Amino acid sequence: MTLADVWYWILALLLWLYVFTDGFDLGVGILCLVEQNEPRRSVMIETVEGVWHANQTWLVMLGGVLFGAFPLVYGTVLAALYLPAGFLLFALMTRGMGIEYRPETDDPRFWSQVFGWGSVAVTVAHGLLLGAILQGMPFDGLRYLGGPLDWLAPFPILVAVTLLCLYPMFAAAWLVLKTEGELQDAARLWGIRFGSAAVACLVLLVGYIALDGSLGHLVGRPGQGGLSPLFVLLLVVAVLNAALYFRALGKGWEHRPLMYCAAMLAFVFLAFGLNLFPLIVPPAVTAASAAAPDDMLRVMLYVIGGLMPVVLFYNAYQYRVFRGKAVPGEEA
Amino acid sequence: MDFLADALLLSRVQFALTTAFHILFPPLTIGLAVYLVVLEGLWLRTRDLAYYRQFRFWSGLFAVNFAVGVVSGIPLEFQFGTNWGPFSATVGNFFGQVLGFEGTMAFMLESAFLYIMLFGWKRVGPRMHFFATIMVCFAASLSAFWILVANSWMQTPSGGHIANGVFVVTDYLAAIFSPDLPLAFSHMYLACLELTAFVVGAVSGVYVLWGRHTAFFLRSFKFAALAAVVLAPLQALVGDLNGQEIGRIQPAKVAAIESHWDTNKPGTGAAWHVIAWPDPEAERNVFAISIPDVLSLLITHDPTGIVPGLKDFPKQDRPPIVLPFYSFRLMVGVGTAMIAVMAWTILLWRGGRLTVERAGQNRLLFLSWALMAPGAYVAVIMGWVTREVGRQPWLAYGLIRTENGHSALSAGEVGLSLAGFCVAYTLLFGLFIHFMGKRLRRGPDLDELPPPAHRPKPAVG
Repeated sequence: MTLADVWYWILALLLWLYVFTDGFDLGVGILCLVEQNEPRRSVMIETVEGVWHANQTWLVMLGGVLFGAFPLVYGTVLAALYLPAGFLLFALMTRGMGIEYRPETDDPRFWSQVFGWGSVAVTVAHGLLLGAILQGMPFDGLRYLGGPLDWLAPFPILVAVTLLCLYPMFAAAWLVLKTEGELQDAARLWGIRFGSAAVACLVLLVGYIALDGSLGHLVGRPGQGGLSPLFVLLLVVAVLNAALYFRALGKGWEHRPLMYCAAMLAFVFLAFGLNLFPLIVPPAVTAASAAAPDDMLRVMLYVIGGLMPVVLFYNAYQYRVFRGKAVPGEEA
Repeated sequence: MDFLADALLLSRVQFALTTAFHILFPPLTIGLAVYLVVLEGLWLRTRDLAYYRQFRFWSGLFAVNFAVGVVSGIPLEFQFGTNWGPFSATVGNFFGQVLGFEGTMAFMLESAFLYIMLFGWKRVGPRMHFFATIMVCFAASLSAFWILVANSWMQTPSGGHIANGVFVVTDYLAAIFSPDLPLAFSHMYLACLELTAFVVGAVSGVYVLWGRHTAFFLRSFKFAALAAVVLAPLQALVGDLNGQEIGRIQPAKVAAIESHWDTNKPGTGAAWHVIAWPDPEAERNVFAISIPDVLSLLITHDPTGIVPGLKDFPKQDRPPIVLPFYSFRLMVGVGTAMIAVMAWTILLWRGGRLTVERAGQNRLLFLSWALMAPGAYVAVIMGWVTREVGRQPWLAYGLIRTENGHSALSAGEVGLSLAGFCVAYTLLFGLFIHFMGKRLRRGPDLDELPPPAHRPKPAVG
C-alpha cells in the first residue's frame, strides 16, 4: 500500500465520519420541517446543540486534508463544481445561522424554519456534489472538459433525494436515543418512514447504476452495466443492517438504531470505495496521480495521523458530557 | 462596467470581501478567550461571584462572535479550491497541509470544547470546566498561528522550490517558520488582544455612561485599561520592528506603502510623505507633503539609511500604491490614538476619578473609548489591506503571480457567487448587530448563581 492509498482511505474515513455525524444533525433540521410543534422542535434542536459544530468541523478537516494530500483534486474539482460548491457554502451559512441564533430570539418558529430549510439545502448540495463526482468528471490533466452544469443530471439528483431520506433516518435514530415520551414515539415513526424511503432510494440508485453502463466504474465494472459480486455482497450487508435498524426500532431499543445506521453507511461506503479504488475522481484520476509528493504525505501522516486518535477521543468525550436525554430548557 | 466581465478581478474582489468580513470576528474571540481564562481563574481562586458573572456575560458575547466567525470563515478555505485552483494545485502540498493542520489541531479542538465551556456548567465539575475554557483559548490562538503560517508563507515562501509546476518542500521547518512569520504573528496576535481590550473597554464604558451596572462594568473597564497599558505601546514597538523587517524582505511593499519612487543617494536621507498622491504612469507623486530623512529613520533606524524606491523594481512587479499608502496611515493613526486614550485613562484613574461615584462624570473619556472600538476594527482591516495589497502582483511572493493562480471560470459564475456573498454577508452583519445589540441591552445577570457543584463549600465551624 502506497502513502497515496493510505490517504485515500483516511479521506474515506473522514467522509464517513462527516456524513454520519453531520448527517444526523442535518436530519434533525429536516425533521424540524415535519414536526410542527415548536416546544418539541426546541427539544429536537437541543439534542444537537452541543455537538453539531464539531460534527460540521469534520468537513473543514476533510477540506484541509484533501487540499494537502491531493492538491490537484482540490484545485480542479471544486472549480469545476463551482455552482453547487457555492450553493453548499450559502446553505451551510443559512443552517448555521438558524441554529445559532434561534435561542437568541423571541421568534423561534421562524428560526426553526431557517434551520430546517438550511438543512434541506445543505443536504441537496451534498447530494449534487457527491453525485457529480461519482458519475465521473472528465479531465485532461488539469483542464476540466465537462460543462458548468454537468451536476444537474439525473444521477446527482437521485443521490440528493437519497440523502434527503437517509439523513432523517439517522436523525430519527439519534432522537430515539436522546428523547423520551411522545417525541420518542414520533421519532420511531419517522425512522420507519424515512428509513424505508432511504432503502428504496438506495435500491433505485443501484438499479440505475446497473442499467447505465457509463456508471460501471462505481461497481467494479468500468464501461459496462451490471454489478460486481463484491459490490452486491457489501450492499446486501448494508441492507441487512437496515433491516436490523427497523427491528431495533420495533423492539424499542434506544442505542442500537443509531449503531446500525453507522454500520449501514460504512458498508455502503465500502461497497463504493472498494470498487472505485484507486480512482479518486472517476473516470480517470487516480489517487496516485493526484497525490502530493511522498515525503509531504509522510509528514502529514505523522502529524494528522498521530492526532486523529486524540481528536476522536475528545470528540467522544464531548458526546459523553452531553450524554443522556435532552432536558428542555437546559442552558447552563 | 468592464470589471464585471473580468473573472480574475471578480475572484479577487470576492476573496478580499469575504476575508475582510471574516477578520472582523476571530480577533475578538481570540482575545476574549484569553480574558475568559483570566476571569475563570480569578473566580476559582477568589470565589467572588462577580467574576463568575463577568465570565457568563463575556462568554455570551464570545458565542455570538464565534458563530459568525465560523459561518463566514468556511467559504475562505473553499475559495482556494473554487476560485484559485491553479494556485492550490501548485502549492497545495504545503499550503493545503497547513490548513489541514489548522482544522485538525485547532479548529476541531475549539469546536469540541466550546460547548462544554458554554453549556457544560451543570455537566462537568469546576476543574474540567476550567480545562475546557483553557482548551478553547489555546485552540483559538493555535488557529491564528496556523493561519498566519499559511499567510506568512505567501509573503515569504521558503523551505522549497517549484519543480514540474508543483511546490516541493525540502525543509519543513523553514517553510513553516518563514522569515515573515515571527513578527507577523506577534503583530496579529497583539492586534487580537488589543482589539479585545478596546472592545471590552468600549462596551463597559457605554454601560457606565448609561449608568447601568456601574460597579460591574467599571471592573471590566479597568481590566481593559490595564491590558491597554501593556498592549498599545507594545504593539507600536512590534509594528515598528515589523516595518523594518518588511523593508528587508519585501522592499517593494515598503516603497508602495510610502509612495517612495527614487532610492535615496548614499549620505542623504529618504523623506517620509505624510500625504501623497502617486502617478504610476509618470513614476512620481503628483503632490506630497514630506518630512526629510524620516523614512530612512523609520525603516533603517538611520537618518541616511538606504530605502529602495519603486523605480528599482520592474513596472510589472510593483504593487498598487494608493491603497497600501492610505490604509497604512489609517492603521498607524488609530494605533496612536489608542495610546493617547490609554494614557489619558491612566491619568484619570490615578487622579481617583474612576470610582463608582465619580465615573459617570468622565463622559468624554468613555466616549473616546467607544470610538476606539470601531477604530480597532478599522485598524485590523487596514493592516491586512496594507499587507495583502502590498504583496501584489504575487500570490506567493516571487513564486506565483496572481494572474496565473486563478481558476478558469466564467465571469458569470464568479459574478453570481460574488453577488450571493454580498447579500449573505449583509444579512449576516445585520443579524450580528441585531443579536449583539440584544445581548448588550439585556446586560449581565447580576443575580446569577453557578450550579451547585461549582459553588464554594460553606465554611466549616
